[in-house]
Amino acid sequence: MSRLSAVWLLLFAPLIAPLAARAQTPAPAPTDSLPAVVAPTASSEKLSESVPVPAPSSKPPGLDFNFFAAEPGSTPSADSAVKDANVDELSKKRRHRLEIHQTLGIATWILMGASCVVGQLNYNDLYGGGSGRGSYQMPHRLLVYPTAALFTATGIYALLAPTPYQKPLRFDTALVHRLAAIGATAGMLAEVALGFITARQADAGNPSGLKQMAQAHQIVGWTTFGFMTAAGVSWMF
Amino acid sequence: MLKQNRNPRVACLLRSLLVVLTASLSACAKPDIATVPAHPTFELDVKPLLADHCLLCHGYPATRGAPTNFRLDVWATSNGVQGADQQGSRLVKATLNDHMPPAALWGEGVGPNGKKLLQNWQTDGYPDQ
Repeated sequence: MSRLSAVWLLLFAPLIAPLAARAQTPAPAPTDSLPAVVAPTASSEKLSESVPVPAPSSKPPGLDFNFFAAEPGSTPSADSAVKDANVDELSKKRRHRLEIHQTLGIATWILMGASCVVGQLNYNDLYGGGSGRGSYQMPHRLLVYPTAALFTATGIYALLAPTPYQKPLRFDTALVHRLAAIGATAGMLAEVALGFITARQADAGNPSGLKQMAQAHQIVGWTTFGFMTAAGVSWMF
Repeated sequence: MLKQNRNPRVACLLRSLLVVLTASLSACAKPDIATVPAHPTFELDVKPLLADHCLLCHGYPATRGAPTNFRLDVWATSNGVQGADQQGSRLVKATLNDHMPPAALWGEGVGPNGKKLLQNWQTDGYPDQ
């Protein structure tokens, strides 16, 4: 049991203890169904030996009630208190992880933008009538590795955030954010594959289809950046 | 401990990444040549091999950071840029040692038959035709 749950239990112990005691004792029969005076008979004496009869209260029976007591079906038990504490704890954890997710997401977006710009310069240099010297190859590589790492970390933080309460699926900014994130993930996976294949093919000196591969890598890269931007912008509204 | 923390969504993401990376490892290089000529020449045999594995960078002009003082798409030296006639031994050595092409380090070089062709060309004294 966590420390927070214990504190909750201590706080609610005065409320819970009488309720628990009340649950153990048999509930008195409704007073209006009983006769006002019951004459002691042989059968009733036998019954009193086998069944415990509640002691007569000094107060009038009509006033013997707890005004603040909830219905027996809806009494908060120790389980529900622990459950509430767990939800509270999971909510805190979720908030913490999503804050990290947000910071990482913004950093990924900045790096991805830089990768796209440098990647475009690299494409223009190698395939778009540039000098062909490959001056942007290394800067592009140096940018894309941390981008991919940050993107993965961002996604993992979002996926690892606990969901203590279920939310019905509806069209809102969260759904737009999720859809954009799914698109960005698909784009990123394609981007890694295309970039990897293009680089390996170039390193192997194989020119066949290289330009088309690089072009696809470029288009998917900008599209992925678009998805990332949509994911970020959707959270602002 | 790891098993407890395993999130199915994270596992799915990592599995997809693995599939994509494995798929990416599919043949990036040109396939190896089918037959090895006993007496290869530059124009007939070596130049097509270089076109598949080297000329992307070592053509004219040199690209992707390749040296600009030589080119492998022609035999003779012209305009101060050396041709393949001056680079024969260097070319064969770099290829056989898996220094070139760069992906040869990961097994995506000219292939065993391509290497054998270059060895035969070296044995014959780097003939042009």
